[in-house]
Amino acid sequence: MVQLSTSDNEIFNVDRDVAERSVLLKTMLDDLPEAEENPIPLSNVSSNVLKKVLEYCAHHRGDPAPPTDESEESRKRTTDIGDWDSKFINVDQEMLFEIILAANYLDIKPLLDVGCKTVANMIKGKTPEEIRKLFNIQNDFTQEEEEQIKKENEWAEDR
Amino acid sequence: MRSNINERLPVEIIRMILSYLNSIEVAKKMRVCKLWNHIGQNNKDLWKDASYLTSDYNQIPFRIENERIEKLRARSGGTLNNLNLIISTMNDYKEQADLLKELPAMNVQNLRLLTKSPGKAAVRQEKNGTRITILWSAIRTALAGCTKLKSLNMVNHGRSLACRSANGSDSEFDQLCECKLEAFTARGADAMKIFGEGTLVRLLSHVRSFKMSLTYMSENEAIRLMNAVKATLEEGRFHVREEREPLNDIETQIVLPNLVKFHLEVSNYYYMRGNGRSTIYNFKNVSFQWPRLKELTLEGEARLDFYERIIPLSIESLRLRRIQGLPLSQLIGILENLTKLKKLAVEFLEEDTDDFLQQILLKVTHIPIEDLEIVGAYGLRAKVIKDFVTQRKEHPHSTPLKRLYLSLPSTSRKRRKKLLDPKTRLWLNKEVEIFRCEVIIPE
Repeated sequence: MVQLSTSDNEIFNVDRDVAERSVLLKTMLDDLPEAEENPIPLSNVSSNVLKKVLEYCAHHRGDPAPPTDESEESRKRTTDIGDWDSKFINVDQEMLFEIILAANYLDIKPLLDVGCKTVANMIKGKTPEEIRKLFNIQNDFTQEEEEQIKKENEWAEDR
Repeated sequence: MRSNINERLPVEIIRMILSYLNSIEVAKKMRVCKLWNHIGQNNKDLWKDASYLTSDYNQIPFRIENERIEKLRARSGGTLNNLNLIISTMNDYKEQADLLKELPAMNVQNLRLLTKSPGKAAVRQEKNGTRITILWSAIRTALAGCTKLKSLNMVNHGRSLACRSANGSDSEFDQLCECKLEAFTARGADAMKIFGEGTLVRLLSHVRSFKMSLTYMSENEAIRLMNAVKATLEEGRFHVREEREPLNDIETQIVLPNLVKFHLEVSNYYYMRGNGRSTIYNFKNVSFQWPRLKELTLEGEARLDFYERIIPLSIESLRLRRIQGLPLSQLIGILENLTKLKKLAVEFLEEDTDDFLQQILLKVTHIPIEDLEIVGAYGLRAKVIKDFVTQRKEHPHSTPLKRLYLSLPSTSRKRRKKLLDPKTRLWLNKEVEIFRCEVIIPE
């Protein structure tokens, strides 16, 4: 058992193999044997987010380690998400961002992928204006700049 | 108020998110804001995937795709890791041949090559088939020059072009054979004819995934090829046609230590005419050893003894596609013995779906099927599927369904309505952890 303490000072008791889905925690546990006795402080993660992240880790506890030789540049651009994962990640936008940030911080690559794919799926097929609205992004281009960029990427438009 | 994604997430993660989009999409998204434009401008890797190009080849002219390839290469520094090329005799063949000449310089790792061949009439019209010859020899030269390929996917629509210019020497594809291909897929493209058996065996010497469909090999060719790839093969798909007559009894044991997924399609000698059941003479004497096999798909027409011999009793996932020549009682008899079976998928059963489900309830009670897929569920009634789910859950020796996938033929409107009625769907959604239901469009 490993103890994790969240930013809002909640303590979670977790099986070691579940905690080790996080590369950060795995490294800590491997390097510092005493980490097993004291709660590991996760000052960037709140309890409601950690609960969700641990749910993911518990479900995937037996998964084989992701292949390390797969270079990012050659992988296929798929946004397919498994059945369980897509149910799991069906959360509001704020929670989705929190999960992504936690997965990034804790170094849980498969969960980070699921989060990023989910956002990518939200972006897919939408116009720039729709995306700005969805993610509250300011259009910071001048009109000339916008024209210029539109022209540079004209080849990608459907014709 | 929604939070601003650019303030909530670090730039690196925004880049990752964009990296899941295809590059055409990325180009469109650069208009969102300065940050996203900056990310697009400064990450070559975002532009190296051109695998989705020409997916819509009926609508997008080759000229436009060609321009897109050029634009992508301008942003990626020349390399395209994943490329999807469609070569068609309908397009300007000179332009296509020029592009093919560039292929080796693109350092493509994953190539999908779709060839569209003309009908017989068009070939006859063309004097000596010049265009076809030019294009096909350009394809061969381009392939022969690829040195970075990891996966090759050849798809052919229409008649196979390969034999038209198969005059290359044995060393024609030496460079390509050095690639150590990890995956090779041929769909409708006759790999045996294109490369010749000797070259194909060399090409596949390290292959982890080999899939061939819509063209076939003879039993003996398949046995030789399986033997050539057995050490590394993890996923295999073979379409085997029975020999015209039994050859000398070959007694072979093929050991495939790494094989996890296997798909075997069999058809009889008069495949095109489809009369009679296939006998599969030589596979009779081949025994397979595949300790890691998890998923087995069988397709086509054969007799009971073939299925009994090839399906390991310890299989966990079994898919039967367009199985012909196996009456329901025999099929159930096979399933009764598969005590580890967790996933069962059937596609286009010859028998009535209701009967099939009821027989499973009756006779396959103890088999731990928790994942059931029925594609082309003809004649399925809402009551039967509800009974099935309930009884699997309540029976003390049964395993409840965790996942159910139904794909219904859209031809029978009345039945579709019955099964898809919202109440049944809601009920199934509640009772089964993962439930999906789709309607297939008739071919």
